[in-house]
Amino acid sequence: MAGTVRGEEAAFRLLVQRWEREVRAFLIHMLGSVEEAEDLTQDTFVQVFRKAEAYKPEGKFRSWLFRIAGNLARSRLRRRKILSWVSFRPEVHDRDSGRKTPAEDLERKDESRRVRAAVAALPERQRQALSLHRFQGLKYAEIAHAMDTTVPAVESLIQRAMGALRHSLSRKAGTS
Amino acid sequence: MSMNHEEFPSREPENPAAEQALWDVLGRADADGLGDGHSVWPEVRRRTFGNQAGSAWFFGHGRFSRTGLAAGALAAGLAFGWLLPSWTGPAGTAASYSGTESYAAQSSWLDDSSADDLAGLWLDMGTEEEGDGS
Repeated sequence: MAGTVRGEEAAFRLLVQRWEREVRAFLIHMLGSVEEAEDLTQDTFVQVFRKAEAYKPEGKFRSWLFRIAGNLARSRLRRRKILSWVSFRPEVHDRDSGRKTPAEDLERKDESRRVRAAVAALPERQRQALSLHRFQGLKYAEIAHAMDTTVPAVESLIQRAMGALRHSLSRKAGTS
Repeated sequence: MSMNHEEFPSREPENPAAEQALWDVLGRADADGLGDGHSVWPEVRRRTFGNQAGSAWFFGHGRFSRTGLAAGALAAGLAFGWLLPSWTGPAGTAASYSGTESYAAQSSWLDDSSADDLAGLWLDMGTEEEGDGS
């Protein structure tokens, strides 16, 4: 990050390559669209570059990074006026694991699809908190910084997200 | 990755096994290459460093070196603009008559004097004027 503050291309390239996968995954969870996640992943790193001098090294870089990504995602969601159900594109998500039998693989893909759809149906703030915690591995304090809120609020968001998911997945399991 | 219950300090899970199962399901759902894709670096580079390639041969690649050069150019411009008038002197003042030619052109009644005489005369006039004012 120090290299990026100095505007060095090689350092910035390393930074992008280190974090782009996690940013893209987070944005897919937030937006439910791979294409839009790709666009906003680019936008996130362009913002990082432009705001590099505002970054304070005493803070966690990844919470600052996901704060930028989260703000961009929320702006995009506001623009789209889509805050509820978002469908996923199966051709990108259904990667072949290569370690399962076809039946197991199919079952797992089906489970993954249902879970992602349930996550995508969560309210925006719950989805953001849950995604940062479960998928990106951020601690509560980092999520609080990334979402500009408090640790108890993050805890509450994740509890409600988990409750909603449990309800949603058990209902779907009952109907299928 | 097992669920870290220390992350839920204010409550005890009602059904730890069910919660752990849901946690694991979420983890599996994320593991199927969700973040995979082509690198965004080429496009990010074009949008960040790409526009600077044309001038980088002169201004350098670093942001600080570019900023430093820009600030240096501005400072040099300001300094030159400040110093130049003091070297030449503002028009219409005694300093603008320091050139013997201009002095002679405006003082045609002294056109047959030598340059030294003109300078001496001009200095004498200045001294006399100062003396007159005192």
